[in-house]
Amino acid sequence: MCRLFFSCIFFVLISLKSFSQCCTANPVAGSVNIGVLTKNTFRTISFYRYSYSDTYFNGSEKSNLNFLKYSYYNFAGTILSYGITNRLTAEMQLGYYINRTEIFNTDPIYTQKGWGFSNSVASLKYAFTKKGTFELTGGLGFKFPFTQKQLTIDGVQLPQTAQPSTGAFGAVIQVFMQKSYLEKGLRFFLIHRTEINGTNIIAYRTGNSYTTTFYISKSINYKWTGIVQIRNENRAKDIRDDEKIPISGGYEIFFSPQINYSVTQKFNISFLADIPVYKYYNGTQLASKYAIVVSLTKDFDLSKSK
Amino acid sequence: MKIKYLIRVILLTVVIMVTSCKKKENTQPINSSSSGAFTLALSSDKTSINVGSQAVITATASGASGNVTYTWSVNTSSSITGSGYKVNLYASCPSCTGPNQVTCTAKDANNNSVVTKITITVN
Repeated sequence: MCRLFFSCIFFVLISLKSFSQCCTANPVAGSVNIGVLTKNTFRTISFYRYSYSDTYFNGSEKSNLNFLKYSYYNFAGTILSYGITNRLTAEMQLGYYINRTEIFNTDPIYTQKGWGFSNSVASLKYAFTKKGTFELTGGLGFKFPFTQKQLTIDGVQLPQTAQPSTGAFGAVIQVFMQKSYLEKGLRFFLIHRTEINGTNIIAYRTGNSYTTTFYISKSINYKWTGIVQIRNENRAKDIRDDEKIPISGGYEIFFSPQINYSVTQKFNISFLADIPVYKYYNGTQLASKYAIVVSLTKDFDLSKSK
Repeated sequence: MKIKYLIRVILLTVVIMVTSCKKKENTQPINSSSSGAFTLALSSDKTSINVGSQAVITATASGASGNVTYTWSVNTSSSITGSGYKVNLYASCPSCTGPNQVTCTAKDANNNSVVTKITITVN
């Protein structure tokens, strides 16, 4: 089974390389990562995310700068997971920017738009401890772009803020902890995700990111579950030509209420709002305002089909 | 016998790699000084601008065969708006300050390329 998995990964990588000859590409959105799956379970998570920003912040204070009127993106992604054993899960994350748009405050107003494949992540997650209602899992992933070429529209190479991917290889490290209180319908999750980014072909390196999320999940009834998420995203400064860009990086704390509806036991729909409650940026930067996410999760028990 | 065969395979691989590398070198854009009659000049209406403002950059190509296409890039997070032979450099972010080096690549119908750069300081 392991051989089959690695063969598949290899095949996908080869395919991506050939894709990159003809198509444009770009960045990976943070995904909700969960623990390991039971053996022979195949899970698909498909999600759509809309994000909007229109205000600049200097440090943690609102700024009057208005170089951009606003910016937004529409992103569609999918996460495919397979339980190789009860402790080992393989995962592939794929994403596509339908658009990544910036509206400039120029006269006349100018719209800059990028689109294309984001970075993807192929990873393995292993449950160090999986006893009853407690799980501790670690994961290691390989982050890769669909293409290293920079997206150029109408003869103009877009800036990094509009590129769909970092254009560089990288790594993802994850730690996941879960404790359930089944009799109360309560679950607590703690997830940490470190993303290490490499340098792309124009000597630009997107800063590493460190995201820690705490979830509380409570079953309302057998169909509905309420989830509250507190997330801290910390991003290091970007680097260009081996020099740190002083006005880049920072950290944000998000409050994200989520509601989950179980259509069947193995098919769920989730709605999530991402609201930044605190943000601090190095220098003056365009700040996140809000994001909304819709996701569909479907589990398949492949052991039954044998 | 096997070793001889192996050496032949390695030699053949090296020859293929070397010849393919040479082909790639020939397809690289060449700069204006080595492109014969095909030249490219860049000019800007301003040599320095403030963050949040724009400079107009114009490319003038001469000695080209047929239509000329232009590709633009900048080495900071500034944005280039417009397309073709005339574009704007928009210093759209506080991190855009310092020298902004704009690169223009012009390519004619015969695939001859010329690359020229111009630097605009953003304060």
